[in-house]
Amino acid sequence: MFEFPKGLYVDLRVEDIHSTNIAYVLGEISQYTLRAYRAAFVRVFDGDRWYCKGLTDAEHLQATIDELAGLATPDTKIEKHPVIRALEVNQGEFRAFADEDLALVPMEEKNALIKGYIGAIAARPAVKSWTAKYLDRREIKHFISSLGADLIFDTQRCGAALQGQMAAEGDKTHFDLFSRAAVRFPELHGLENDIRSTFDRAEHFLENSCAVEPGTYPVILSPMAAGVFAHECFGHKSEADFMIGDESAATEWAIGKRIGAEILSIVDDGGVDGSGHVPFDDEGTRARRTDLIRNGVLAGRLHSAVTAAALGESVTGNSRAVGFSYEPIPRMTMTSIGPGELDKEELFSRVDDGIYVETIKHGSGMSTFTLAPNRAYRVVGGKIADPVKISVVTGEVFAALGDVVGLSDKVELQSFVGGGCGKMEQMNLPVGFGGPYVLVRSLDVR
Amino acid sequence: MRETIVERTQVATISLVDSSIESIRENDVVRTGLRLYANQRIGVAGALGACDPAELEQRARRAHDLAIPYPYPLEADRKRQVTLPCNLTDAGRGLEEAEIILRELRDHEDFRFSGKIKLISEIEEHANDRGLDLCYEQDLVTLSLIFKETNSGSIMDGHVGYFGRDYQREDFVEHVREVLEAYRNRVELPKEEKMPVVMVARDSGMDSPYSFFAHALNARSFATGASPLSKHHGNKVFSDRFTLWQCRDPEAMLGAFFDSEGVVLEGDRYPLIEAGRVVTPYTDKKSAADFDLPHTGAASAAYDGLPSLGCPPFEAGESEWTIAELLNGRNAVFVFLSQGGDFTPDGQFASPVQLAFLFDGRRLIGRLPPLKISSTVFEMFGDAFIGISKDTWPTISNHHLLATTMKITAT
Repeated sequence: MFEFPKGLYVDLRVEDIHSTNIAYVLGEISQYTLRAYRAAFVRVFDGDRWYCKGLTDAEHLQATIDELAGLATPDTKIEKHPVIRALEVNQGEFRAFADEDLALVPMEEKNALIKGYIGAIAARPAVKSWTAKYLDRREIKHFISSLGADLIFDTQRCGAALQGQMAAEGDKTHFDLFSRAAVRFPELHGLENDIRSTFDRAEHFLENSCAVEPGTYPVILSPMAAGVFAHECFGHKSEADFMIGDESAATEWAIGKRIGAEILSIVDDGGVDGSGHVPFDDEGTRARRTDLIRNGVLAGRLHSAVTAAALGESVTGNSRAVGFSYEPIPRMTMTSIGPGELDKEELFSRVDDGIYVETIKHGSGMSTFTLAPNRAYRVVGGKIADPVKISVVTGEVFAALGDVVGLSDKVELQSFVGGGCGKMEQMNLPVGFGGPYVLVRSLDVR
Repeated sequence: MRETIVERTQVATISLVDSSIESIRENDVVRTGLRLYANQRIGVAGALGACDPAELEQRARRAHDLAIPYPYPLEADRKRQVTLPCNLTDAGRGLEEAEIILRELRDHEDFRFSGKIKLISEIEEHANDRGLDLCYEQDLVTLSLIFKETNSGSIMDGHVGYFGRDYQREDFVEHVREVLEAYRNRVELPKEEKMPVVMVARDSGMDSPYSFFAHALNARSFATGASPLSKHHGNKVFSDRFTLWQCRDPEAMLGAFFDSEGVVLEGDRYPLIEAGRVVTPYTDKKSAADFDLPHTGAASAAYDGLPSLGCPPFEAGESEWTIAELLNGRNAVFVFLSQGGDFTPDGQFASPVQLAFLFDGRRLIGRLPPLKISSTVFEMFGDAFIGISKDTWPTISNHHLLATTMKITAT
């Protein structure tokens, strides 16, 4: 189909994208967009540098291959290069959603779905301003390489998100959000009670929350907060590109090193349905489960072919690009903390005076990680007590990983529409995360 | 009536990994939008890449049949073109420059560098058949580099960058040298509980000191009573020295001078907070009409989307003093890298600072241990507010510095 130049590695991915954005603001439609396009990304590698181009004219792929090849210096032994040897070569068509393609669901049905949920938020006197959104995105990717890879696969996700800006007497304000994502449209039906429950709790928070007394507390993280903790506190450090050429990092992050409490395990798996689902990555590598921490010991990391070759390890299916304008780099997919042995009530009973973080606005992770709670509560005598307003929960990464002292026995995985993970220039990559309820012995709360 | 939006972005990106060039990437993307207006309704269609005008019009007509209301007058009878060139635009020269910069950076043997150098050319056009004809063209160069000490196990230890149209290699190299020299020099955290804090006055983003105002001055939140500033409309609640503009001055903000409804502001600015007084929230045409507020031109839209209220770029009015004059001999905490902080809805603020320097107003003295800063929005921009510097930092950038007094806590 394509003529690949000798002495060079070439791969290309053609993306057929279909996305929908329907939004209502305070009862009026504010967005009704259906976007469908085809675009492509071409990479050429000569053993020294990558030459890449993103293009919206997918009819001129051969010309682009030739153009990029003209910039490169052919190497007759390119196939023996460690990066090329690290690549998987997969073939076949893997359309998991061909019969349930979101592009086949009429706009009218999507519009009716989100309109049907408006009543659950709009009728609340405390909600002063609100937005209701239906979002979806279906991607069909065709990946071809000069090694013989020839893959067609699809991913998709859809979701409903309702945001409410709330106010009450006494200058009380609070923002809250209900968001539910799925990979199949029918899974978004029947959410009324969940939406009402979310905003019931939000109203209680609005009316009753007080400023937290700053200090260090034992903190229980909900599965959502635990997922953010896994993603931000540790997940980014498992992306192997930061270790390239860095012997200190290789020592500090040596496989087999104890880095957390013995009860702590974290995995990443792009094969799980949800917003992190990628059956193959953007280098054609099949998704798989990668143990990142197993029983407190560093067990693995997330790779592209470049990082796998540099560290003498294997690809993991985590080389992802946020769109046709970007090259793939190591990214997370669905990252989660493994279950423990306590039931939820037992876990809470271990805290006499602490904090429960239920929902999160955002998080970040360097040597210090942060979680910015949206809704949080005091825990008194093992029970959830009064709501508290918290700017930020912080901790030192290694200390926090070692301070995980309790895990509940059920894992909840979270998926999202809108937003996503940002890394360098590539923002809003869809990922999922989750975990059980997690008790951390001591974190700074402000 | 019809309105067309064309956005063309050409970017050459050079990726640096471990102080070497890893890849060279080119993108050239054209996005076209067509809006049709009739009977106080709007229909929009868009295309990525080459598009067939007849097919685009057909889709816009179908979208118009959805009867989405748009009862607002279109902008009319205004022609303006702004072209802002850059001194480094050629991709080949960019690659040469990357190689020279890397040679300079490798002299800092105790650090490794990764990141992106981008040469960007952007064109944004917004025109309609009522005589609106706006065109913004700019070329930019951006250097965004993270650095790590060679003995560090961290993902990154800090970053250095440049974002502008007048790239001067010697100045950038000198900026990197100053930052790294200060990084090497560890200093103690002063014992004071509160002290001046200095940060780059970025206009938007999570690490912008103005992030609170993105919500608090949103017209819908403000007018419905859901903003902590709602009850302060017209009142003076911040320092005399604090003025916040909605700013679309392309010289200052490196972005288009019009919003997504084609609105051009007089002087490219609109005051939202003036000398501490809350003047107005930011509005698009709809929110201004719905809530009887001044229209500030704060519409945003994707090329194929309906225009709606969006947070505009902010700019704080600069003082007549340099940062050294503002600090007046006092040392300050210079917040260099701060991720993850936030405001509570009522304005309490706290943030970890992953990288901070002790700063005397003229030079970075040394690296402080990781710390936390905290305050409230009413203190930060009220009694504790020191001012916005008239000079920029680093001098190669167009960023002014914000100085305020905050509580400092060691981690």
